[in-house]
Amino acid sequence: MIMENIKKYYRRYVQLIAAVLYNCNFTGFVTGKIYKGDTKGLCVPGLNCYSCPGAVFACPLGSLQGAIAKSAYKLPIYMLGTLLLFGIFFGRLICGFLCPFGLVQELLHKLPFPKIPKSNFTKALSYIKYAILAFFVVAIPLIKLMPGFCKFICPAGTIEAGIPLILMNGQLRDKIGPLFSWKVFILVLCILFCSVCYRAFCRFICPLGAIYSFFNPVAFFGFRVDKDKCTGCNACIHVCKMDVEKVGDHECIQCGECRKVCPEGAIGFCGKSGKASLHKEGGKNVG
Amino acid sequence: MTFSAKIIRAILFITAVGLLVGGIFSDGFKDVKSKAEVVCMECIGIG
Repeated sequence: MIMENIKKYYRRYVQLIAAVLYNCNFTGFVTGKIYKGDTKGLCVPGLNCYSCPGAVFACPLGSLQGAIAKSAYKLPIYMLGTLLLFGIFFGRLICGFLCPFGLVQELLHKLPFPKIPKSNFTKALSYIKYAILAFFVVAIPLIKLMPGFCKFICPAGTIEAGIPLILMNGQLRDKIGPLFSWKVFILVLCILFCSVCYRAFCRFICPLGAIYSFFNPVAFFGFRVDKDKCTGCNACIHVCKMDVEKVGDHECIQCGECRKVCPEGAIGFCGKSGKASLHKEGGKNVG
Repeated sequence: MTFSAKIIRAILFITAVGLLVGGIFSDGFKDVKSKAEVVCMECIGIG
C-alpha cells in the first residue's frame, strides 16, 4: 500500500523533498534573518529565491543576473557553467521535479476553478518566456546593471522572500513603495492564472525554464520515445498539459504522465522501455 | 538519440565542466555567495 502510494505520487514527493532541502534553514522563518553559510555560493537547479528566510542555497536566475550585471569586468563563467551543467544533465526535468515554484503552481491548479485547456493560443504564448529571458535576464542586467527579472517580475521572490521578510522585519516594512505593490500585483495575477491554467508561469513566463528548454533534446536524463514501438497514436500529446508537440521537446517538463497512457509502452526513462498502458482507449487516434 | 546529439551532449558537458572549474578559480563561487548572503532588495520588491 505504502509502496503503491509512493509509486503513484513519486513526482510530488520529489518536489516536496526538493522544496524542503532548498529551504531547510527553518530558524530563518522565525527570526526573519536569511542564511549566510557557505552553501549560499552554490545554486539550486530550480527557481528558489535566495532571500527567502529558509533558503540555504542561491537562486540560479538571480545569480545569473547578478553575474551578467558585473560582466563588464568579469565574465559570468561560473554561472554559465552551473546552468550548462544543470541543463545538460536534467534539461526541463528540473521544472517537473526540482522546482518549488512548479510545485506551488501545480497545487494552485488543483483549486476548483474552471480550467483553460492548452491550444494553439497557449502554444503561441509559450514563446513569451524567451523574450523575457532576453530582455529581463540579459538586456536589463547588461544595460541597467540590475536584476530586471527579480526586480520587476519574479513572483517566487515576492511569495518566498518579500512577503515573509516584510511581515517579520519592521525596518523593511517602512521601506515598501510602489515597486512592492507592483510585485504583489504580479503575484496575485500569477496565482489567479495558475489556478485556471496549468503551470501558467512555467509555460509562458519563466526564463529559467526557457534556458533549460534548450537542453531538453540532449539532456542525460529524461523521457524518450522508442521509435520502433511508437505507432504515432498521439495519446502522449493528448494527455500532456504542457504545450508539447512531441515527448521531450522544448516544452516537455519530463513529468512522465505520458508514459502512463502509452498503449505500446514506447516511452521510457533514459531509453529504458516503459510498460504498455492498460488504458487502451487513450491510445486510439487521439491526434 | 542520434550520434550527432551524443556528440553535442559530450561537447556541452565538457564545456560546462570547464566553465564551472574556471568560474571557481576566478572566484565565481564567492561572488554568488556574497550576493546570496544579503537580502536582495530587488527580489523582495523594495528596489
